[in-house]
Amino acid sequence: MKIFINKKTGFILYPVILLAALSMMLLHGCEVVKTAAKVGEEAGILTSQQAAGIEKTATAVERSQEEITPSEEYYIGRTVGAVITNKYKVYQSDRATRYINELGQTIAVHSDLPETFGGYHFLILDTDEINALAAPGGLIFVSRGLLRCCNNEDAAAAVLAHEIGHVQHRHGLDAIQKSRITSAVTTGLLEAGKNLTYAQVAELTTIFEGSIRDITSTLINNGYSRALERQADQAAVVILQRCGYNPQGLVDMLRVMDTRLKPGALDFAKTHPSPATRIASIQESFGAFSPVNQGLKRQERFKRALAGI
Amino acid sequence: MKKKKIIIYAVVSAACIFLLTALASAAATMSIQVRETQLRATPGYFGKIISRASYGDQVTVEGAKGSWKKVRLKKTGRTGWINSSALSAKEIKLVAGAKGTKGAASASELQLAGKGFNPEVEKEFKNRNRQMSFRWVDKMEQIVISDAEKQKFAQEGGLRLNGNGGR
Repeated sequence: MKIFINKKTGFILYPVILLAALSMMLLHGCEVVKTAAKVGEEAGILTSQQAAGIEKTATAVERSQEEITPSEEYYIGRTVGAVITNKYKVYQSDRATRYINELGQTIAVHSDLPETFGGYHFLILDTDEINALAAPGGLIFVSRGLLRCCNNEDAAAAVLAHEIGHVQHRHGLDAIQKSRITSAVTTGLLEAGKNLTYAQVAELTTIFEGSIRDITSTLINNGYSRALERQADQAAVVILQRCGYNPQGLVDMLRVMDTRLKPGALDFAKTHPSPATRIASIQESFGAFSPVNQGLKRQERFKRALAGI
Repeated sequence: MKKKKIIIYAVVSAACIFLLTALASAAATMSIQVRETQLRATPGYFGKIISRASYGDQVTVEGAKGSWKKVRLKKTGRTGWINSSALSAKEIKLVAGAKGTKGAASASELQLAGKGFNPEVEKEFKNRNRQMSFRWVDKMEQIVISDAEKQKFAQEGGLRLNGNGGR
C-alpha cells in the first residue's frame, strides 16, 4: 500500500510525526517508535533518511533512559563500601557511630534525595588521613582525621552534607566508564522479566567488577572533577540551611583542614580542590555567612560523642 | 486537495488523542523504587504512617504537593503521601533467581532481584573475591535512626525539621 502525498504536505507532517514519535518513545518504549518510523517511510510521508533518523534517536533515548536503577545503585554501593572497609580500619565507638548516624540521617531528610533504595548509613574510618568517601546509594565513610577538623556540630554536619551531596547527584555512578553502562544495560534490558542464565550472571559480574574499580579508583585515588566537588559543596550549603545549621561550619572546617593537609598524602590533599579554592567558590555562590553561634546543648553533645576522636 | 486536508487533520487529531491518553495513563501509575517506604497522612516526613510499601509495589497517583505525591497503593487500596524520591515512573519487574548460580537465594533476595546488578551478581562477586568481607557494610546498614529519634535529635539541637524532604 502506498499513499501519495506531495512534498509540501510531507513537510508539514514530518514534525507532527516526529513529535508523536518522541512522545510515544517516552511513554511506550522504543519499539513502537521504530515501527512508526517504518510505517511513515512506507507511506511515503518520511524519506528513508528521516525514518532512519527517528530510529536512531529512539535507540539513543533507550540507552540514556535505561540508566542504573536505585536497586542496582544499592548493590554497587554495598560492594564499594566493602572495598573501603577492607582497605581502611573501622573506628569502633558505638557512641561516636551512633552520633554521626543521628546527625547524618537527620540532615539527609533535607536533601533532594531523602530516600535511597537502602537508606543513608554512616561509619567512621580509623585513620589520621583527612578523608571522606560516599558510596553510591548512601553508604558514607568519614575519617577520624577529617572529624578532627570539625570544631562544632555545624562543621560535622557540613562534612556529612557534602557527602550526601555526592550521593544525591549520583557522582559515584558518573565515575563508571560509559561503555560499561551501555553493555550492562543491554544485558539487563534483554533479560528484563526473565531468569538470567549462569553465563549471563557471570558476564554481568565482570561488568560489575569493572564498575566497582572505576568508582573506587575515583574515590580513593583520583578524586572527582572540580565541578562535581563544587556541586557537592553547594548541595551541602543548601542542606545545612534547610535544617537550621550555619553553613559557616563548612567554611570553618575547610580553614582547619587547610592547616592540616599534608602535600602528597593520598587523601583530600590529592582528591579534592584546595580548601582555599572551595571556600572561594562557596562564597562566590552564597556570599559570606554569619559566625557559627550554636546552642550550648548542640556543642555539649558534639563534644561528648566525639570526645575520643 | 480536500483529500489531503482530511488526511492531515486525521493524522494530527490521531496524534493529539494518542498524546493525551498516553499522558493521562502514564501519570497515573508509578512503582516503589526503594526497598521500603511509608504512606503518610500528610505530605512530609514525620507525618502519621498509614501503611508501608515495598520495592516494586504499584501506586496510582492522585495528587501532588512539592516533592510529595498523594497515591493509592494498589495492593491494599490505602491512600497516603509518598516522597517522589521513592517513586519511579518505570514499571519494576521482579524476577526469580537464576538457575545454576551457586547456592540458593533466600526468599527476600528473590523478591529484591531486579534486572542487572542484583543479589545474584553480588553473590557471584563474593565467590570471585572471597577475601572481601561485607561484615561492616552489613553492620552499618543495620544502623537506622527512627523518626522519633530524628525528631528528638533535631529538637534538642534547636534544628528545623520540616520533613518536607528537600526541594
